[in-house]
Amino acid sequence: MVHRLKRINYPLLVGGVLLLFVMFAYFFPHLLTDMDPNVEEAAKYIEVRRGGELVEEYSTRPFPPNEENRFGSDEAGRDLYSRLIYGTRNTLRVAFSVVLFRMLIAMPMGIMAGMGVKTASIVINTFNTLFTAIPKLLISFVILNVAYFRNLEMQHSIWAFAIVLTVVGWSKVAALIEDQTSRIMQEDFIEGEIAAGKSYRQIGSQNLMPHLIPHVVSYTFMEIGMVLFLLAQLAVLTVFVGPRRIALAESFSAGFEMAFEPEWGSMLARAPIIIRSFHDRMWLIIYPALTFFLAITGFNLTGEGLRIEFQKRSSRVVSFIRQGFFFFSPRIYIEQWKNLKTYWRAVGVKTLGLVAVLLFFFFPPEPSMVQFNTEKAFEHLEVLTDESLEGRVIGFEGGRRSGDYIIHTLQDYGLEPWQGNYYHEFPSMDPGNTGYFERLVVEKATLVLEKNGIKETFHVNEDFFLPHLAKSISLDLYEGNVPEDGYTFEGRTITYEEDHIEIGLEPHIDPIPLIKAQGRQEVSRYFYVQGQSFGGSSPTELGFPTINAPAGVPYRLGIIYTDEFDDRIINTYSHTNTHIIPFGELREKLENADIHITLHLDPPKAPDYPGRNIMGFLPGRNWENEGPRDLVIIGAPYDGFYTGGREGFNPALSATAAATSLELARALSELDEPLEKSIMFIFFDGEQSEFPFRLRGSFQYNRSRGRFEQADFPYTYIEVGYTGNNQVNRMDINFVNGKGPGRESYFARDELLKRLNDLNVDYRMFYDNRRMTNYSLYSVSINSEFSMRFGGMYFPFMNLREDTIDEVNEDYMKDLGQIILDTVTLNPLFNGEGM
Amino acid sequence: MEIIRVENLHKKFTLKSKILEIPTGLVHAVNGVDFSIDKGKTLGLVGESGSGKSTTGRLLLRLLQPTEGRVYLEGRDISEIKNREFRKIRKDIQMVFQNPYAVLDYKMTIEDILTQPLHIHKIVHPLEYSKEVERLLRIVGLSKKDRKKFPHEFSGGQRQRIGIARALSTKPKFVVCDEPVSALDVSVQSQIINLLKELQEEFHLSYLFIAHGLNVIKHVSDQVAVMYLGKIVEKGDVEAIFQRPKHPYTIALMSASPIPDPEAKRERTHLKKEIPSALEIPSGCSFHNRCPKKMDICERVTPKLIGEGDYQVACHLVEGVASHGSSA
Amino acid sequence: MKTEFAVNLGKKIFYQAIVLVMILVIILIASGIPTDFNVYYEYGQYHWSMSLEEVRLNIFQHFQGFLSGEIFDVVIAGESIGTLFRSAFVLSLKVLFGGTVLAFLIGVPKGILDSRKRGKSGTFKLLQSYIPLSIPDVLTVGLVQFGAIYLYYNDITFFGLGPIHFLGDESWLSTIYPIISISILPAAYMSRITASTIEDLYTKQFIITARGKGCSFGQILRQHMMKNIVFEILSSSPTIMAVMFSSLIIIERLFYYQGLGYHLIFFFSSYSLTPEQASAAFAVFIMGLAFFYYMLFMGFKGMKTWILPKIKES
Repeated sequence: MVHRLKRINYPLLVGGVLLLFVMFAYFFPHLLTDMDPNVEEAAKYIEVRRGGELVEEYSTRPFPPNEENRFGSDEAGRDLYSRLIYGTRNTLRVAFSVVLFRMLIAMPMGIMAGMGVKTASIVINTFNTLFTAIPKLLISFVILNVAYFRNLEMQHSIWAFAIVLTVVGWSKVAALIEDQTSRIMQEDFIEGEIAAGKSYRQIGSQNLMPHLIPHVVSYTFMEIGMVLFLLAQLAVLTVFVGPRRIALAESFSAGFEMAFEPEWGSMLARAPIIIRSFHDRMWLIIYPALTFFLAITGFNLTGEGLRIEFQKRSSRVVSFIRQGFFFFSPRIYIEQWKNLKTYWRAVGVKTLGLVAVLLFFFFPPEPSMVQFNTEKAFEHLEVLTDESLEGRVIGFEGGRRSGDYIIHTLQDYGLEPWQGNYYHEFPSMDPGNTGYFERLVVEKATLVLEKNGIKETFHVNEDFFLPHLAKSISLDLYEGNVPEDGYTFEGRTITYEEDHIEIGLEPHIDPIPLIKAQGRQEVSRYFYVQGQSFGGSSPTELGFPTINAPAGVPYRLGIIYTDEFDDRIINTYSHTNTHIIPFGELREKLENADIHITLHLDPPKAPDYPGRNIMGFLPGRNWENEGPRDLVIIGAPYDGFYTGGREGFNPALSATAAATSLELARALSELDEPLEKSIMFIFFDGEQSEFPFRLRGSFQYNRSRGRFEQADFPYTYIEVGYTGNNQVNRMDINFVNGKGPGRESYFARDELLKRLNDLNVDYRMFYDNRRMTNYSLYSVSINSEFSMRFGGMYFPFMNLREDTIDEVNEDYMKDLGQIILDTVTLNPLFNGEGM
Repeated sequence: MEIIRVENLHKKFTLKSKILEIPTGLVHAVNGVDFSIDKGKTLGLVGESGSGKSTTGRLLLRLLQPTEGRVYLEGRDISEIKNREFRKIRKDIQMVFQNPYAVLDYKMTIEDILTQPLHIHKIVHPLEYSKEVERLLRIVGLSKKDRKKFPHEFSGGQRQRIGIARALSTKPKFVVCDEPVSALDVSVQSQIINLLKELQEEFHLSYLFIAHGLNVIKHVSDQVAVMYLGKIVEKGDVEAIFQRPKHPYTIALMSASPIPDPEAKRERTHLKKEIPSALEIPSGCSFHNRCPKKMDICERVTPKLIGEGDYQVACHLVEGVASHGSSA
Repeated sequence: MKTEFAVNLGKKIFYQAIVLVMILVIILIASGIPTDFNVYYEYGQYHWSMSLEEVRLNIFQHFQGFLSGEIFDVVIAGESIGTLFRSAFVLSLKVLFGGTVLAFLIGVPKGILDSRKRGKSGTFKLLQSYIPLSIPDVLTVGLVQFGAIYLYYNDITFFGLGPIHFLGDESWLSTIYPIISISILPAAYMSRITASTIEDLYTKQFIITARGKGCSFGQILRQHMMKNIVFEILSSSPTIMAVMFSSLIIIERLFYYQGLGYHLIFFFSSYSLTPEQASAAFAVFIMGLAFFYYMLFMGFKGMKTWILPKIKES
């Protein structure tokens, strides 16, 4: 018996068992835990053992190990155990990728070097010396710490790590292979092979390989162990794979990067900080470190165990592997086919296996339950971009009629009103509210310059834009006090050479001439701010905070100078002051002093109608139930920019969201069997508004009516974004986690990613990324289980002259529509079937 | 007809120091060797270890590169042929190695070992491989059931048979047998020797038979060449060499080898010292410091191989007897 | 012969010098890339956060500062980089040295112990020599900290020393925990090397002779084997050094021990320095580290190639 015990290859045994565990977690994480690794819980009652008894206490995150969270939770309140289990896949994937790449380079190089190619040997040696002198850890850290790498999403991150860590570390394994190869080549039988007449290449493949492969297998396992070790070290230095988000003050601890995806390395990133209060927070470090330890040990021991096996000449394991090679050899397979009569059994088994493998990889994806019909969507698009609608401005005739169209369409499709109404109205004019910037339309305005007796006339939308009219004007409109001949501004340019004000963004810092308004002495400074408006979510590009400008002064005029002029539409809003943006010739002229300016506006037009959010409802099977019923809300903006002022403009992109959503409504309404969950469609008016957001339909919905949905129904929110034009071929998808307890977003997202791959969609996924979150997504998502937006929230080419219906990317729209349909109908977390 | 001719073959090895790879010494392992072998005949090459005989064999197969000299195969000069072309010639020149344990790839089956040369030199059609392997096994006295086994499953003698089978698989014209039986038990030795002789008859093979034991050489060779420190010191028909050896070294070798006849009278010649290292080859006649019949001239002048017809010897003693040709 | 010797020696030295220069150049370039260099994605397009020209300029200035020596005078938090480097260097040296000595003291005896039983119990003992090699630094530190905290909070002292605070580097006492942590891996390596060397030698002829003569194991060990053991350990010194240097960084970081490793990471990720200060300091430190490492490395190699064989022969 003792003798038997001695024979057992302990490293292989123990290593194998550990690996079994680890690979089980890799392939079947859901069998090991049923908690969602991304759900954040802020505070709850936990059951802990104190003095042998189970006691309930109140605790905030991070939770210590308790009955529910076996290993406790991390600082965000996410269960540590499930994060470790689900993280296995990501972490191991990095390790495997790195080792794979390393082997791909090390093997040919090592073999060549071992067989006598001097250059290969020198290269290996140089790399080795180089990277022995610079600790690999350090150089990997320096490279991977560059901001670029920190912001990659998971798949690309893994690639980046693989490449960097390969370049840095391949030579070590290559040296081992070189050593082993030359050892084998010095064996006596090589001489015999040469005498037989083999070329080096033949010796390499026929003789060398069978001797080398066992060693290479052992090296591979040990490399994986070493890479995991390195990953653990890098993690402590806050370098790890995967997207992160900044944990804000509104969460628990301000200002640090928190990983989104579960991954072992990311859990060690806060180690240096946690270790300061280690006695309180031990589990945060110990458990991830232990997990690394187990995996590293597993791989190392297995590698060593294999090495021991391969040294034995008559090893059962080796003959097992050899028999395996024989069994799986394609050449033998072909031979057996040739002698089918004798080998029919073996051929049968192998063919079945082959078919099974092929099926697994090429298994056709589940067919969509319902198809998105792009043509029908385009029909809606044609209607919505009809010239007569003049761009569907909120509150104006065009906007109203487009809303009517949507209502009728929804009714045609058989959608029901939501809680008795097909729409919810909100004011499009609120001049008393300085935070409310209404949409106005100015059809005619002229600017007359006079200097040294010469007069020149310029026209709005041809020579200058009129983005803002002072609030007092909108008040006049509201009260019906607009002077019949409109408004006139008069003044003279001066150059003002005092210092400029910086705001932290890039100001235009040349001195800017100012208008001394008639009768008023107020002086304002304006600058053009490059890039995007504050908050990054409004569809306009220009944002300009005003300084030293007392609010409400009615007849003051400001001029905004831009460096770039796009051939686009700019709409008019009410604002604290009136502004113009001159371009071309006019702009040049205005840069001089001492010019007399007269600006005349015809009476502007105010919206005739209130803003209108439109709703349509498809009850699901759960609608008959008692108690809270799950809801899916599909939202889309439908308004646009006023096109009446300029010739030759008919932007289509801003209508694509509504067109897509209408087609979604049709498709879902025509299902044979209603879905489990109920669906509410909502079309937001006024989304093409400026900051602040109060005019927006989503704002209005959220702050008033939305309150009711969000209280009564647990809901998931899907936002239909804009379709790109023909130059865009990647769909942006933003995924926002729910903020309440128990929302299973991880699985939903997993399913979503699978489906995106099945459909071959080219996408770019963002997680809770402030830059990519527009207002409607942000506000409606707050109380949702989770939310996502498919498609763009804005494109720089919207409302340009090139923005036409011909330029709309049909494939993009088709993908957009189809993925939403499939998500709602097939994703188990959406269609109510659960996991 | 001559099948192999060797002219002025030299092989020098340069020893290098480990750290800086500076040459520290020169080994002149093969120092001007000439011989020729006729078709169907065996030349026995005999000498102590360190004499350069194994090196000579390897030079013929170009397992080592000659530093100087010419080799002719069937009249064709193969010395200058590049390695890639030479591979094709390997079909005609094969080798049976000394160590049957080490020389077969222990991870390949016998079938693979024997098939690969067939494949490389396209001896038969691929579909005939199996049959040919059976034939080869039969020829060397193994059964076709041994095809799927691995080398370590055989005994030493059997492994040598496999080695022979492999050498024969390419249907060579000339085979170098490098001490093929030295590593085997005495009882097995004669079996292998007889096998080699049978095969030579059957397939009209020519052998260069390298050995350090004289009995074996006597049994197998038609002609014998005696090597000492890289040079051939005596060469001739097997009878001539064995019955009337002239070179002191040859005489000493003969006397050292046991004769299974208790009544045979012999003179034992004892050689002084041991064979010197090839790094420090003595000047003049390389044997002079051990030769019992050394003369003054032997220290200064290197004797040339001279003789009549097939018989040649390099010794100043013999020169005197064989008349002219002494280099003063 | 003499000239060949000189030429070959010259070639070797030249090659090594080239490698060293390459290393330093690579480091300078890598540390010259501004840390806020980024590529971001917006509205369907990729943008650089700074042009390649700017990056190149930065690297170039980096080189200049270094070659002219100005870089050492840059002031950070009241001290010049040169002074800072010196103090950090000393701290790290203490830990490295202590760690090596401790590793030797633990590893070699352990290896000797291991080798005695190995033949008899198969591969089981192998297990326990491989496992310490798989412990990630963070776990080592975690466990050491665990112990340290326990000792600290229970006011336990050793021979009047302590209680030792488990973070920071105030006194020489605070080198103890880092030294313990850093010695584990090298000790495991050394014990393995020792054990396998003893095993290899055990069957060698001259050892058998000695045993035959009746020498005890201890004597054999001291007289014959020790030299080989030291030689083998020195052969593996590159690997052990590499491991120690990497571990040094992690351990200093986790113990807030302000040696070279700690500072390196600090410069890279701190917000209290301007980018210029940070990259200057980082460059100096990493060059110093690389240089020091390289010198050690060559030193060991030289010892191995020239001195030890002489000792072996004697």
